[in-house]
Parts: sequence; structure tokens; C-alpha cells
Amino acid sequence: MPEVHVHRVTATASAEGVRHALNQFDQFSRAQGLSDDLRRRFLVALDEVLSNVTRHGGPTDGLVQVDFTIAGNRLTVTVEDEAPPFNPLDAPQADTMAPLEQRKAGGVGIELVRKLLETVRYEHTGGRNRLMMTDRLSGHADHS
Amino acid sequence: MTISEAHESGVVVVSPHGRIDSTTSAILERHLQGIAAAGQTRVVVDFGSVDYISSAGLRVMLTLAKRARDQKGRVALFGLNDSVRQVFELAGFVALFTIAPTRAEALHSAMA
Repeated sequence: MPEVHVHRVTATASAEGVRHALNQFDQFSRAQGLSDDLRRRFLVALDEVLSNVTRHGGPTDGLVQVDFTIAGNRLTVTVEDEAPPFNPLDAPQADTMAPLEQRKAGGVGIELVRKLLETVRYEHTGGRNRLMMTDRLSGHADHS
Repeated sequence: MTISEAHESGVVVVSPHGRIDSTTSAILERHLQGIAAAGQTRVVVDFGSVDYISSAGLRVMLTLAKRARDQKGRVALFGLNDSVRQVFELAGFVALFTIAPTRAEALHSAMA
């Protein structure tokens, strides 16, 4: 059996909760000796996903649960919330080639999540949104 | 996040320290607004102490680029680590900014 490390964070769907979860992931990845590259790619993705949840998540006292799991050569970060069904991966693709005048910031974040990580999956199950992001602990970083 | 600022040959060099994400981007935005309000249009952003930037930070950078265009100012960046550079590339932001290899070249570009 490969060694498995799991770390679970429960936070409010709020700016403070996002800050807490990001700090926890930062500490987890340093304690596990993850590369700066992997740590930073997941932090960018996690910030995007969690701030999406705080924007789209129904009740203000909603909770979000974040699991960091290392199994074998893979890191998986799972974000679950009980807000109304919302698939961030359905967001329209941002135009990353447009000239400055037509450039909008919206949509860039989800584009980054898709491109920075090897696998990103969404499901709505048991009344919960669940987004799973996975990548290799070592190996080539660029999936674009 | 903390931000330091230096003035050199008519250019403001802004050095954010830490991460630029949804939890900190408002601080950078506020700082850059202050620079604009002071009428300073030549800005260099020193990324040497920035761990990573997420889309919330890119939004602030986009505002900076648009403001520079409107005010006929100049913006140059330097010191990007590989992660920050990758985010700029994936978002198509390398086309919107002068990204210089050194502080001296960034200053030179902002003075031009």
C-alpha cells in the first residue's frame, strides 16, 4: 500500500475562509516537501475555485471543505460546498489573444485552473458541488 | 502582503512582497491607485519578491495597463519567477506588458 497523506480544512465561504484554506495548503505543501512549481500552481487554482465559491455560494454562512490528498505520485485537492449546483468549468473561455482595449479579466481564472493542472473534474453529488484537481508530484509542469 | 515603493529618475518602482491573490489584490490595487492619483504615470513593478499571482492579481495588472494607456504612461515589469511568468503566458498577458530581464532595463523602458 502506498503511503497516503490527507489534510482536511473546513472553512466559511468567505474571504477569511479563502485566506485560511490557502494558508493551510501552503503549510501542507511545504511540510510535504512539494516543489515551488506545484505548490504555486495549486495555490493559483485554489484561490480561483474558492473565490468562485464565495461569489456563487448561496447562504452567507455556507461552509466549504477542502481536502489535500497525496497518494502515490499524485496530489489531489478536492473542494466541496453545499451551494446551489455550479460548475465553474462551464464558464466561457476567456479570449487571451484580444488586444488591451477588449481585454476583460473575467474568465481568465478558470482558464488558468484548466491549463495549470493535469486533471480538473466537477460533479454534483449528494447535494454538494465537488471539484477535484489532480497533478503529478514530479514531472513536466506545462499542460497547455 | 507588504508593498514598498522607490522613486528613480521619474519612475515609481513598486515592489510587492508575498502573494498576489484574492486575499491581497485589493492592497496592490489601492497602492497603484495612489500612484495614479499622485499623477505618476511611469511605473515599474518589481516581481522579485512575489511568490505567485492568481487571476485576482491579473485583474489589478490589467487595470494598471489600461490606466497607463489612458494616461499615456509607461509600465514595465521585471523579476518574475517561473510560476508568475507561466500565469502571465497562459493568460495572454505577456502581450500586454513590457517584461524586462533586469531592473535597469525595466527602468529604461519606463523612462522611454
